[in-house]
Amino acid sequence: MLIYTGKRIWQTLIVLFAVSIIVFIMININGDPVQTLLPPEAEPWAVEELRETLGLNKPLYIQYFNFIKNAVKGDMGISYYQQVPALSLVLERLPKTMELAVAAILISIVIAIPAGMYAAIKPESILSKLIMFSSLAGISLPTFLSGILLILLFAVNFSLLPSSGRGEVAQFLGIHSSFFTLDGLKHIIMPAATLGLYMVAMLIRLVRAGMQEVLKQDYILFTRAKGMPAKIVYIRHALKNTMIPVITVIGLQLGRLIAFSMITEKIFAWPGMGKLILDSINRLDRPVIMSYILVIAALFAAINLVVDLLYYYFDPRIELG
Amino acid sequence: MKDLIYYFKRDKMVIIATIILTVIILSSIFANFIVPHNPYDLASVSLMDSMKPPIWMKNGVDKFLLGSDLQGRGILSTILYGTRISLLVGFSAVILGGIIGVTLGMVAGYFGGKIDSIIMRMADIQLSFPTMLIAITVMAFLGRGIFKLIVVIGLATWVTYARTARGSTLSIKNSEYVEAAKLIGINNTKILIRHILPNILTPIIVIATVQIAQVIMLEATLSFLGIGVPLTEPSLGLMISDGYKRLLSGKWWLVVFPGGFLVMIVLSINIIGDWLRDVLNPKLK
Amino acid sequence: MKKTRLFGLILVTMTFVLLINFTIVAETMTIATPSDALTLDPIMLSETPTISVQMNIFEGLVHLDENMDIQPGLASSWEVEDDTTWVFHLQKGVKFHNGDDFDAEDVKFSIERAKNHPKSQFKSPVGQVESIEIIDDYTIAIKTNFPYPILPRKIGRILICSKDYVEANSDQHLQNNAVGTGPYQVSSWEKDEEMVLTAYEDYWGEKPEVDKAILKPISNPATRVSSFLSGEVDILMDLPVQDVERVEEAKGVKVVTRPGLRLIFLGVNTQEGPFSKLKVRQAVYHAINEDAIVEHVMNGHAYKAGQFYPDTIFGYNPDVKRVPYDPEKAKQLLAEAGYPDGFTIQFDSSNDRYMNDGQIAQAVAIQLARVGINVELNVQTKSAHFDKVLSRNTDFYLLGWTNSLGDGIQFLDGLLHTPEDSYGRFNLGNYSNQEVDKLIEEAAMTLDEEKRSKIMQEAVRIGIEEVAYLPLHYQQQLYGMKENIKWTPRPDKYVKISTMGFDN
Repeated sequence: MLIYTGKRIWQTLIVLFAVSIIVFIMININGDPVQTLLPPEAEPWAVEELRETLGLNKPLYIQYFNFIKNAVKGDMGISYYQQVPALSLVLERLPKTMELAVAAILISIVIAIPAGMYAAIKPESILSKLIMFSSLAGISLPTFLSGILLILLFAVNFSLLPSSGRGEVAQFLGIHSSFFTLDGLKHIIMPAATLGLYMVAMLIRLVRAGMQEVLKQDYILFTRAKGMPAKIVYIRHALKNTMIPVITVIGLQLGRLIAFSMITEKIFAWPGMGKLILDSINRLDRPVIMSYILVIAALFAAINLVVDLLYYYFDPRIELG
Repeated sequence: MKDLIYYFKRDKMVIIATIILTVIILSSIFANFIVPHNPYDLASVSLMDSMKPPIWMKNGVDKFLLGSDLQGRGILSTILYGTRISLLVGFSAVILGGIIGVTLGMVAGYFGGKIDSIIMRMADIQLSFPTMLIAITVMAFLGRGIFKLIVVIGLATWVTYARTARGSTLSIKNSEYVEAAKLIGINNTKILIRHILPNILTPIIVIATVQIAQVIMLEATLSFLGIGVPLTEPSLGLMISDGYKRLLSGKWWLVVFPGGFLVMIVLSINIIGDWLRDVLNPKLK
Repeated sequence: MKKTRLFGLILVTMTFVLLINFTIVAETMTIATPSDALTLDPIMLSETPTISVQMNIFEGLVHLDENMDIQPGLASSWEVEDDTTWVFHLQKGVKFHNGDDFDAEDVKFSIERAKNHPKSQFKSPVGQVESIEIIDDYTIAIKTNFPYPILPRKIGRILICSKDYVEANSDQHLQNNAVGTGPYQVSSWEKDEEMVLTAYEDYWGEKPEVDKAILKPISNPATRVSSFLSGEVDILMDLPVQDVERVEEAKGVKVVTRPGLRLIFLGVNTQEGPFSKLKVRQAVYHAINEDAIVEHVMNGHAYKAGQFYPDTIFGYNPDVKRVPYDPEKAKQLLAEAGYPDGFTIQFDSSNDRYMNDGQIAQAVAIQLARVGINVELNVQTKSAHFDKVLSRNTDFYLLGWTNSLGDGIQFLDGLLHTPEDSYGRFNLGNYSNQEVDKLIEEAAMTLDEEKRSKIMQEAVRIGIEEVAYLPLHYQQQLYGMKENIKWTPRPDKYVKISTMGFDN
């Protein structure tokens, strides 16, 4: 397993290298960051001077060579707009996006598990049909629209929740998060619900399918026959058996959540890395775009590796490789 | 097939979804004959008709059944034309991604070895990025355009199909009839197309159905970010992302009608996709 | 929740009233801005939202008031010694936020840093500064390369930093940690989330009414308006034109409008293609129904433009009038120019840079279609758009221009003069007229205000007559404010918190 992990990490590094070339070419052949960066009244000589300072007057392959030379040392360059290393800009936003993603997962679990179980236990009831239908309807609305509708409803009309921002943050076990204050929780609930919406539909289906399978098995029928209260039977036995696929899917969806958070963060003015990348694409802040994409790629690779290892752990019959 | 029809008849929701989807597709294809004016023809639009509410409201005018947008395009006609664009993008991108993905997936699974590992490493690279990130970054640099959008989304989604196609190919490539076909000297291309393709199509169709819905949503999201289809040929997504800005000022018809249409389309496709998965995929049943 | 808060408030107020009769309760102002500052180092980025924040923390030698007129800042007075030498007398007794004393050394250092730092974005404002001489601790003389009438306006853009502080710290540190002489200090900054500014106790000038300001960057307009309507913020910047009525209907708030400095205009390639013919340019100008654009696209919140800058700007020509909307005349002019059936042209525009820019471009395309010109609209994000038009790869484009210094010479230099040397960087259609060039060069060196104004007016007249550009409208600035707030926003959009107050 160690050898396997080592091999995977090696492969990931090669993938990251390939990604860096592709992305570097893509973001460098189009657009002139110096023109976007400088104010309109800047004179031509000032434009040329800045281009030189940023090293953008050199041929592309030399720029790439310089980039990769520094990148192996962990230096992805300085943001054009802020005089700090691009990588640290991205990394300091990562926890804020993760916070949102985790909240989205929690919300979708809280909704999906009881809903999915109910739909499995009473498949013919109207409520079940309504659950299945509305979960699909939920993912049929573009994220930006559902976000705005939530804001209009809960912030403007009912004045129940704040429309945007992260709210009060407190520290707990060394982690700064909105989770630990009431104000913070109020701020996170709408963006997290918006982000988690599409996962709800998926999880409901998973829980329902898993539950249906478990319900057919003998020991459930047996314990029921023993006269244990129905609720306990369902929750204790059945839930345990559906959790593994649910956790796997959540793991695999984490990456997608982080990507989708771009829209949610923009709508709810959440200061995460999704908002940063959208702004950076607009500004042509190449070092930040590059850092973000490589961080995401590394994150994805790590998640995939963990999921594969977990599979192996739960089911050693699976071949690694 | 008979099974399919049997299950179909049993599920009322799928019947309704199919009818709705068929009506929408047909009406968008034949939009020219249904609505009197072409909203994409700039010379026929006028600011003087800007922001008229639906006909039944105060200030509504006969010309615009469901009201008009800022530039004076009728909402109803723009919806029908816009649906055409949305569906075009959805179907084309899925077909493109599907063709690339299935071909590469089958080749990888069938031949194995070096080819397999090259294709699958390529898939790994692509998988390190969410589709949306690829689409946003590339479209921001390429600029608007329907064709560009289709190609970018198609190229960004091939991996999903490739993985499935490869898996299914692996499981049947050693089956007796494929072996038999090889023995009697049928060439590889023919085996792939005639014998393997039909057998792996089922899961691909299930994925593709859901993907169409996702691509339509992706196109709407890109419009929200100011990239995507051209402004003068609004798709449903562009109409919504334009209209949501005016929700606060009470111009609800700019969002509600195209939004309702989009939801109907995506929901119908999802319902059909859901049902297909239940029926075609015995593992989940 | 509300009840407890109210109760708490009453309790606190009562305690205050009982304990000290004449205490002023701390006044906090929460402001929703369209985007965050990107750096607190005043030479690194010349961009409105960033400068807007810095203007509260730092000061320049002079500053522009609400009418864009020059007022003393860190320099209490100045005079022209000879044609190229300006003497500035500095304020005494000014302290930086870290306790450093302000003197001539800091001024010299700050200007030279703006001029020489490789990443400085303020090289152009001080480009004509030849040397700076310290006469005594509170007097400096600035020499320019040639007579340079707008030096005070330009020098006002350089915000003064403490020499000792800047020299002791890295650029990376200065990025996030500002030490200025201004009325406010940064007490906390969470990027893209909120910045808290608190009044600087030892400020040399008048003590501002607002003790604490919270700036919240909310980039999505609909969300920003929502945060204002739900009462989370006191001041809303950049209220979208379409939401004005909705905000006006809301209780306890008001909409405040100010004429903006930004002109939205169309540029054309005056050297090649159909637009090289004057009659075609005139035809296009006649074909555009600007009244309809202002009414429908801008919801009434813009001012029809007849020339390159509004009347608040130095060099405005009161005699120049906008050509009327006349599609018939347009068709006739097109026919005379040899295009009786019109022509096809690509039209470049952004859709995320100016208020409703994509919609304006569409409206123009539609109006031109009516006189037979087939417009292929190419609307892109601002970075792609700027890249295309700035490389002069366009025949027809939409752009905005702001005269941030309050002097029209910026437009004339950058857009009307033939592109050469430092002139005409934004003259993307290569408009060229020797007479205009001569006027502009003359204006740049004329110190007599009256004479200079006349010269500039003449250049404007010719430029409009030859339709070098097609001005559409000036934007209007729109703000939402709680009713008890007393504040007149500035035309250049810098948010000076020290000018805010409350009606009691």
